[in-house]
Amino acid sequence: METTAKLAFSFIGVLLTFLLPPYLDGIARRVKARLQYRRGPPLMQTWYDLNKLFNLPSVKPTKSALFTWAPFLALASAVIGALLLPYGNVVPINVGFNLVVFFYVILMVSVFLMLAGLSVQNAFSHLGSAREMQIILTVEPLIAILYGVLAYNAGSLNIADIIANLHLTPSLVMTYVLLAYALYVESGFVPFDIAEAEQEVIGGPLSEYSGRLLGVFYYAIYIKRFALLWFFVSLLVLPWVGPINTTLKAAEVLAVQFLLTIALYPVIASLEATNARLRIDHVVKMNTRAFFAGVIILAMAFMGW
Amino acid sequence: MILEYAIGAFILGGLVGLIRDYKATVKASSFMAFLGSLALLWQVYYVYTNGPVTGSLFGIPVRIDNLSIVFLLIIGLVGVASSLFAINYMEMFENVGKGWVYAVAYNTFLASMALVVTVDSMEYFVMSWELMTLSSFILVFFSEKLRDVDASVKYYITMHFLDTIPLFLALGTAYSLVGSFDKLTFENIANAMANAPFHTKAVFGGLLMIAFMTKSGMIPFQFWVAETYRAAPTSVSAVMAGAMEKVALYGLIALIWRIVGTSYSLGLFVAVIGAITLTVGTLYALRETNAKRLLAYHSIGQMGYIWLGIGIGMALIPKGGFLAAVGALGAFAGLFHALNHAIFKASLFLSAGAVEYRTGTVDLDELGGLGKTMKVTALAALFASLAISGVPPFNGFLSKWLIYVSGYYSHSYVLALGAVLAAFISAATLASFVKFYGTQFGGKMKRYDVEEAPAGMLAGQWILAGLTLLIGVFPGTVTGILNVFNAPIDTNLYKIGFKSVFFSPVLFVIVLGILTFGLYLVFKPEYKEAKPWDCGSTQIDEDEYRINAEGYYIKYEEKIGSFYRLGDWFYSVGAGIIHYIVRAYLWMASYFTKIVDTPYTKVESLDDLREREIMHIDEEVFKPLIRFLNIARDVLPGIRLGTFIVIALIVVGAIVGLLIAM
Repeated sequence: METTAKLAFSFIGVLLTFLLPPYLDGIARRVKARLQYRRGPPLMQTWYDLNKLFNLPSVKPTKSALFTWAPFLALASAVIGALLLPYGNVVPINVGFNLVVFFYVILMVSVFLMLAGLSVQNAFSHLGSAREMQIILTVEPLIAILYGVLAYNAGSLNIADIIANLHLTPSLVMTYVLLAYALYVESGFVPFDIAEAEQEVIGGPLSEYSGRLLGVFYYAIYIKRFALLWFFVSLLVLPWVGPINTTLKAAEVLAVQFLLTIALYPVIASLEATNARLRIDHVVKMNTRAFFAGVIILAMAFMGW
Repeated sequence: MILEYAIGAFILGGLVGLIRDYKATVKASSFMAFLGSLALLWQVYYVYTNGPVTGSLFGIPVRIDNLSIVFLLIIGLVGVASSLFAINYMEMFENVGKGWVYAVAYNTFLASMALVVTVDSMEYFVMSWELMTLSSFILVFFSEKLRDVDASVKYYITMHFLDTIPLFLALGTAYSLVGSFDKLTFENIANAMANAPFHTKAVFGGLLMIAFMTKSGMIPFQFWVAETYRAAPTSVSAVMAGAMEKVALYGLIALIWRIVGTSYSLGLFVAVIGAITLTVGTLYALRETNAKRLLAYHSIGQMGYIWLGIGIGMALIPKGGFLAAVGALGAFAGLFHALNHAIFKASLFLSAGAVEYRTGTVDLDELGGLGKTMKVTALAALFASLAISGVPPFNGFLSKWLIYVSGYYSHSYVLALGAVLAAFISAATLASFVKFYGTQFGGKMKRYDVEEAPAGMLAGQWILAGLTLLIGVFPGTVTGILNVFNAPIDTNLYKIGFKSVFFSPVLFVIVLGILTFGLYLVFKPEYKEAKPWDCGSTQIDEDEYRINAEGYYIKYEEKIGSFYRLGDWFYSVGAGIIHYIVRAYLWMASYFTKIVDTPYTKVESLDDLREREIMHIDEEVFKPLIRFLNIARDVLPGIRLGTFIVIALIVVGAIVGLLIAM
């Protein structure tokens, strides 16, 4: 593929990363509204909300510089995470096209969220940060073990190699299922929105944020969710479409990725609309069980199943 | 040899102890230790550019090869930073006095570690090792508080039984193979060992394995670590956690791997021990609320990572082919993590020490709000915390990531599961350092109205904290020194990688920087300041409007409670064994000592020995002579000249008379 096409795909990737995530949230809000027999807001509504926040000044409850910089660092990490993924077959920012790097970069969003929450003297944001950490604590081993299955199945941690070499086995199918669950938890959708629970801990780590800085944090969270979903969709689509040699095929694949992302969001939204938030100890318990299921799947993968 | 200058500086630092003034002593001796450590770094550079050095250091055979310099680098870096830090920090113990004890012990400690990793003789290896244990033991009880003394006794007895005895037995085994103490170089032992029967190898390797597992705090010998690091002065804890543990790793590679040889099952054993240790150590750290104990448990955990990496190397390198490359990568990652761990863990200990210096406590439940007043320390602690949690672009990320890669690529279920545990524990590490940083530096508290730590202490912290970022962004600066095992890593200024996986920290930092600043400029924050929202309460104690360290992960800790109960049971077994050994020692001691003034009092506990005046059996032999000399010292100055002359004449006369009579 020539350079112009690559640039074009990268550009599309950048555009998708920056523009699509709030629309996806708009879709989710519409779907949730329809499930509850409401009309629902327009698709642009999340953008309108963000725009409003971006135009408001913030209230700062601390002198800490971390409080000011954390939203920007989180947003930058989320964007890098999203741009580490393939659009068609082009990776816009290739700082290391592998699972571990992607995973850690996405984790950085949570790290800065927690540090931001801890930089103020407020029990609610401390509580939210601690909850966020506990969720990560239980979901990370699960993701690590699923990566183990993928790496063993394809013989590499490089995402491109994985896409090229993945072969269908029962353990892989189960890995997909558990990975979907793990990424759903990691994204912090209901019923796993324990850290930012509005009604209990008034926004958790975000409770002291307002105005523009809050807007930046929300934006970062939307982009993170988009990146995780795009990652899953890419793993779902790319291994089975064969080698991508031509621009046309890359464009088709990109279209499939895009459509599947849009199509999966209503599913997420309906899960959100039909579930109530779990308690933190429930999540710990569920994820621990999922981890042991993962151990069995890894063993199956090593036995060649 | 440059090492001579280093040892010379350490000896001089010990001699500085002759100065009577406490402050002058600790400052001057710490400064000499700083110079000595710098000389160690110079030696590293010299060997790195000019190749291995062999020779004799004051009669001790020395060989500094490419493995030694990795560890000299670790000792040098940690020594430089901690000694610089100690110049101010050690003022804290002025009421204890005894500056000379610190001067001698601290310098001996650093010098003996440098010797352990450079000497080329099993005999001197064991001697230096003992010197290291003894000097560190003295430093642990330096504060002379009751709890600290108990910790140090426990440390020393553990080391005695699990380090000294196995090492001396191993020395005996080596002697019986080679047949001469003069020829006990590592090469000779290795040659003799190659032809030795299997059980000799097993005995030699097994004994050394126990010694090195104990020293690096591996399960099940980890029970001494937490209290020891808590008790020692923080600058010493930094050296112990940063450098002393790594010396055991040197032993593992130089004595077990290189002399006894390795096999798949031995490597698997090392890796499994590492994987278990990293899990247990770190999960224990998670629930800790004392900053130094928390860091100590993390030292156990991080040593587990290192052993996992080295174990992967020991297991896979004999297999050859692709797996040998993966194994070399694992061993490289283990060494890389050893260096990284030395840097960030020492830095974290120094930060905790700076906080202790200003606030007088290391209790995370008490501390808070220091980010406002101790900005520079807070940033150093943040850097080191992110580094140990493996957040890119800090150095911890690179080495952990390479350990995962080698584990995932190993084609072995056990090793892959080890890598999974390592990735999981990376999250637990993050959790515990979010707590470590958040509780000390987050929020705002009126309780601690303190100043920033003095410049020397900040310099000590920042030498290391700066390196976490420097090595993280430019791993090429150290990969040359570290690649002892010739791992086929792909590294240049821009990236580090293995086969098809790579990471480009430089590019990552540039992109992250541009994006962050760009987004900052796009959404330039405007704000007004206000107090945190407190539900409109009027009576709230603002200092306590927070979650204390204990409450952070309480739900998670409850859920894995059975794990802790199992661990506590193991701990109680270890502690029980040590308790009975202490009892046995006391029983023996009761035959060789007697308590002065009340001769029939029995020695029943350590407190008896500590609180009463004790006379040892050897003292009893010399006591009459000493008493006579004491009397002479007291009486002589009082005698008038005439009396003195008369006594002298009588004595001379008596001697002359005796000579004539004979």
